[in-house]
Amino acid sequence: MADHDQPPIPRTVGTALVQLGDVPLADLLAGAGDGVLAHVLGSLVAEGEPGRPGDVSAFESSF
Amino acid sequence: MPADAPPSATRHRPAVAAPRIRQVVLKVHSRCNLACDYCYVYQHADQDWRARPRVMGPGTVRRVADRLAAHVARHGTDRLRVVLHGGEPLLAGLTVLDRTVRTLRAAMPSGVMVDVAMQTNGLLLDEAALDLCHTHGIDVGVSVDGDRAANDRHRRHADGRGSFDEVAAALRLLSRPEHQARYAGLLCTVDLANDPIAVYEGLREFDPPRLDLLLPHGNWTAPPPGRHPDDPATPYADWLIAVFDRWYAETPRRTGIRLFESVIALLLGGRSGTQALGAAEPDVMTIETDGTIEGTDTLKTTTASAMRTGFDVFRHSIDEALRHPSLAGRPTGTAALAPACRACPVVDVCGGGLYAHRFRDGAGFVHPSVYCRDLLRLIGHVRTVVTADLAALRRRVTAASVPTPAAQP
Repeated sequence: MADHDQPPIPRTVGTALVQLGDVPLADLLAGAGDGVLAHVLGSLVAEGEPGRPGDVSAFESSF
Repeated sequence: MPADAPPSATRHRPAVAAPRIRQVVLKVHSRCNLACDYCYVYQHADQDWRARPRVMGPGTVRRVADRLAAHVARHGTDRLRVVLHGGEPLLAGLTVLDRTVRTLRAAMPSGVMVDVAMQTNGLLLDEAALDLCHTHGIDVGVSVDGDRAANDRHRRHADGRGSFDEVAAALRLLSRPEHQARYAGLLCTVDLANDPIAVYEGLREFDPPRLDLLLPHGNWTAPPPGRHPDDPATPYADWLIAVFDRWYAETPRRTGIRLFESVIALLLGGRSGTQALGAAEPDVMTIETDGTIEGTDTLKTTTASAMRTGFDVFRHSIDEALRHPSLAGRPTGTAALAPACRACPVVDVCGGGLYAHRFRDGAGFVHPSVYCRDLLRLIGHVRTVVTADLAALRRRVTAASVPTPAAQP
């Protein structure tokens, strides 16, 4: 494993490394504006929607 | 139930708890009209392309379609993605591509959606090709490495001419309003010799909805350029962080970068959109022009045989092929990781990195990624930025929700 200069990160398997906290995700999303974080928060909300394909890109196979 | 039972007989049965594919990389043409010096298809260990037909014939396509239809029926899958790939897929010609997509869709059981994408170098992407893409809803990804200098460093014709002018013309066409619905994004391979900001700005000139930044393929036996396995330097992380900082600071968001958005999503407990992160399941299968079934295409960069299954669509079902170690038969999740990875604080984000990047000759894939140090530094940086941004957002949202004294009755 590589050395690293980051502060130690408490890790529990399967949990997020950055906690959203006690503010509801929908409230965070509503206040997040239109930057990158807002977009990712929106994708987290969408993950819970039924019928959303959960697959990943095949484009790693592509040049 | 046989793996190739007729779709109509199995469509409404409950899904079985068995590995399945969600994406197929379909090699419709085995040659390319560029001679990029970093291409894994032609420049790496596996040279089997030399013996394969140039174009996937109609009989092979029909057999692929039948096998896929049986597979989705058996597993109760309602959606499958097919990536038209090569070589250069547009070399197959529009008639062949049209027939291929029609054949695939016609074979599917009722209710199964086949999303079709195409990854092209753009040289043959013209109005006629885009008409076909609109007809079939084919999403187009284009490979380009940035501005002219960056792109033409590797992406050249066989005679040495750069390809930038041609791909730029294609991207100007693709980014027109009437074609944007089919514009999937750009695929850029990172080269440390290129300035990261110039590359990012160059790509953004083409107004892509999404960027994929790929680390050059390599492993512990054949390290990527500039990535010396025992060197503590993190040149690829440094390069990517320069792009991340520029991209993240832009408001409104101008484009998506799949690698970075996947890191952020995984840090927040979400899912990855890339096989390079997050312990993705091996749900991608490659089918060559001769009907050979192979594993994840990037394994071509490890050994000549790493992705050979010995299976083909004429003699074997998709489910049979899936048992091969290059596909779902290989260990996945934490079981596939090296002990150092299992103990690593960022393993839930990194997931061990792209499977092909873990390879060491004679010892297999139970190693950290050859990019381990870079991934660790990148993830740490993104975590620091997102943690601070999220804390500020929480403060804003909390403050906005607290009534001011003047507003109280």
